[in-house]
Amino acid sequence: MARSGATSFPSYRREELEAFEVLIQRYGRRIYNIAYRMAGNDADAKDLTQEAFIRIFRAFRRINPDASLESWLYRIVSNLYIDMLRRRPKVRIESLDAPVMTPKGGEIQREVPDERADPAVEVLNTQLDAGVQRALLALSPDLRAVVVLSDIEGYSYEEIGMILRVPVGTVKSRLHRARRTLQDRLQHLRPQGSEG
Amino acid sequence: MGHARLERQLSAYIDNELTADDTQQVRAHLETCVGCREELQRLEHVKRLLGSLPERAPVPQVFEELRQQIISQAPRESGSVLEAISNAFRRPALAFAAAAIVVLLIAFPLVKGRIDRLRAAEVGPDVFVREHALSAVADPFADRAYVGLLVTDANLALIGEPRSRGGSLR
Repeated sequence: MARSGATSFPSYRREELEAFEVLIQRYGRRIYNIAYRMAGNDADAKDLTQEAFIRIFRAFRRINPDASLESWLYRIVSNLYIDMLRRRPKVRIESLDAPVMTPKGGEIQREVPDERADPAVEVLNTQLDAGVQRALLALSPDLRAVVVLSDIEGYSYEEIGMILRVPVGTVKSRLHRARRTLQDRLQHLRPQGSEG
Repeated sequence: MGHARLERQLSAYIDNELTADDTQQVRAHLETCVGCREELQRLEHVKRLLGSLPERAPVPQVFEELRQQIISQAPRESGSVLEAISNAFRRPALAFAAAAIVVLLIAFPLVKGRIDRLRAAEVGPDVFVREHALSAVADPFADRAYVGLLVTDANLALIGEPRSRGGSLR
């Protein structure tokens, strides 16, 4: 029995494959979400997520089972993203959801077929999402990683420091800078009446 | 703390990441500074907006493709030659075994060749003695008994008998 398993999966044992499945189930969606918020589009989010998991699996036999795989995965995703930007600095990463800017400063929304049951219900949310995502993409990757982990994923400064391997003081100052920049870009989304 | 430094603490204040002492100072400053109160509101708004973002549902094929890749792709096959070499160095026992095999492959023919040449040098005189003893038989005045002894001795040496046996006869 064990032999047949070994021949069909030459590289991984059955219990390892089971452990991988558990990791995918437990962290897959969150990793994808972080990758999406970092990269701003599904194609890159998909690549980043898959690559992050493959790296974890490759290193699986060498790593300490007590090590925090979670923070490792997040670190891999953010490092992979930064690597990706370095490899193709000329490529503009653009979300299909993001509006197209016209020369006169207006915005046009792309028409992308929507397969959800009732797209109209989600239009408001989608617009808000696209606006915030665009503002996020305008941040430098360092600032973006901190603000995604803190305000979208809800990690503490200490946890973010561990994930990104930077001191807590750096997390604190980056987060503040990121929010200051975002607040300028997201002013139009502030509720009416709360201005001033 | 001055106004500018307190203002930089506002994000950490929102996140409850300040020490009790710093929290007190920021709170006291907020009582008196309108600008910082507004800044605080704006920062809180940003945090709320980001927190309200819906989770992005993964595109369906992400994990399916990942599982396919894990099953089909051997981790060692996926890397380049360099990666294979660096992998070998991560396994010192394997690297040592490979090095030992290479050394053996090179050393074995050298050593064996040397041994063969030594052995040939050793049997050489016996072949020479035997050939000359046999040709000496043609000489009518040759001591045939002695020649017979020489030939037998050389023959014994050539088939590998210990030299000491016949040696005393020579």
